[in-house]
Amino acid sequence: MKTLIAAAAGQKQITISWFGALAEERGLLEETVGTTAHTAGDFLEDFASRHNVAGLRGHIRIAVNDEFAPPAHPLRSGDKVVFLMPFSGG
Amino acid sequence: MSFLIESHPIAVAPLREWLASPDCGGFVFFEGRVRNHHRGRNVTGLRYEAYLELAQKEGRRLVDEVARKYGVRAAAIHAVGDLQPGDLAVWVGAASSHRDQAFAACRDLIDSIKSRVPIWKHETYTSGQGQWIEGCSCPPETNLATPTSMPTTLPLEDTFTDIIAKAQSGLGLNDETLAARAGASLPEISNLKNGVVDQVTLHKVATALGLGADALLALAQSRYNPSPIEVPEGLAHFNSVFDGMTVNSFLVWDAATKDAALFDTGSDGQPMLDFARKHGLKVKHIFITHIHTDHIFDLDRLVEKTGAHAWVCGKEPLAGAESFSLGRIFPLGSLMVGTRPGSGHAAGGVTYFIQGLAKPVAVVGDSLFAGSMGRALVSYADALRHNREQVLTLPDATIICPGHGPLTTVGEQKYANPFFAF
Repeated sequence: MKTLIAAAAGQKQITISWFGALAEERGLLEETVGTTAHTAGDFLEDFASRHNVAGLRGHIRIAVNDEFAPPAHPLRSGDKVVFLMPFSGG
Repeated sequence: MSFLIESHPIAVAPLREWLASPDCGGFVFFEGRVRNHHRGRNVTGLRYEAYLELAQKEGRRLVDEVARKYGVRAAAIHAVGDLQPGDLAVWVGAASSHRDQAFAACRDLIDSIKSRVPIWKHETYTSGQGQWIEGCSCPPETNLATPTSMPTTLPLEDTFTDIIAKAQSGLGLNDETLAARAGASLPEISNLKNGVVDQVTLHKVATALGLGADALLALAQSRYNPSPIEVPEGLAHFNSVFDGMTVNSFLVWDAATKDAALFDTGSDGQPMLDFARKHGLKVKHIFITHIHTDHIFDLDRLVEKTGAHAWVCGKEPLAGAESFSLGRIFPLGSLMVGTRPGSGHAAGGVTYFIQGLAKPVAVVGDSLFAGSMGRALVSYADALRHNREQVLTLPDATIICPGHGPLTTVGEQKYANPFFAF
């Protein structure tokens, strides 16, 4: 429902994929949200301020369309975003 | 083939076979296995989850970087899915003609995989409880505790084939003309440009292109690795990702007055801002080496956040930055920032020469790289001349801070850079 309202307001539609601890906390693997944020960093700030996801309060890197992106990376409607907690492979 | 992510159990044999090669006398591998304990708790099981699309890409990038940096063959494979104590989680291997490089590369591989590849681990304990493990290694650009520990593992910007291509296009030679000039056949030229190190052809082509043959061969045989640079207090190196490559930016300051200047912005200047804040630095100037997007991407935001003055060479003005004439000297506390002509790669290219730190420093943008130089988009003759006259005439101990790739020194480039070493 939120998605529909956002689309009506002419916002950008961003698909978030969730992994690891963040997926578990959010209870979702993927969702699409509307935002007015211009950059990846603003989008993270915007999302974290509107949703209570404790994992987003630590050090988070961002990927846009399957590539690491700096906070200043411009966002376009339809982009796929992943918030990345510190990695623990190996 | 160099980097794989597979469901447990992972198959190592094909990678071992792929790595082994008759010219490699040293083969080092490392196996990471699931431990049955973590921070005093008994671990009964473990799950790895990967962000596959990015993990594959980043894994391949880092394996290629390590292979180039150490001149080895390298490969790695990481498991995902449910594993139990004792199971093989990750395997990395490096093969080389000599064991030293293979050991070092192997170590670098496993460390880099842990810090750079988006994979997460979930542990289950005897109690039945479980938790996601948060990585402890930060990416290098956020590691503020060690100002000089910025990218120590940056690979060289160019391979020997890149260098041949740059010289060839700089001189405006097609393959036929080059073959004629070098006295080599077209297939020989084509093989060389595809990366086959045929020493005779390489020597002929280097001579025809005005490149130093010994330096070019050293690059082709991965024998040139820039010596580690001892960065003096007052200089910090930052590196950000832009459009699938990485770009350098630098912070320079006077330790007494804390007056500071940024040199280029990279794609994300936040780590420089964090660093400046942490060390109480006052950023007074932002100097731009040239106005290509990867070097100025974060300029507006950095100007806004620091209130600093942005400067660019008047030969290629930029909105939001004030133009200066070459030769102008900017004081920065007790330091002096000189401006020298550096056009060739870009019309407004500048070399900033900084005096007053323990060692002289030249921030050269894309004029010069460790072992190469930026593509001569404007003038090949100017690019060569400016490097010879404005950079390589500086004291040998001068630290060269290029726009891409590792730091080097003037002394080192005189013998290691094929464009200038004869």
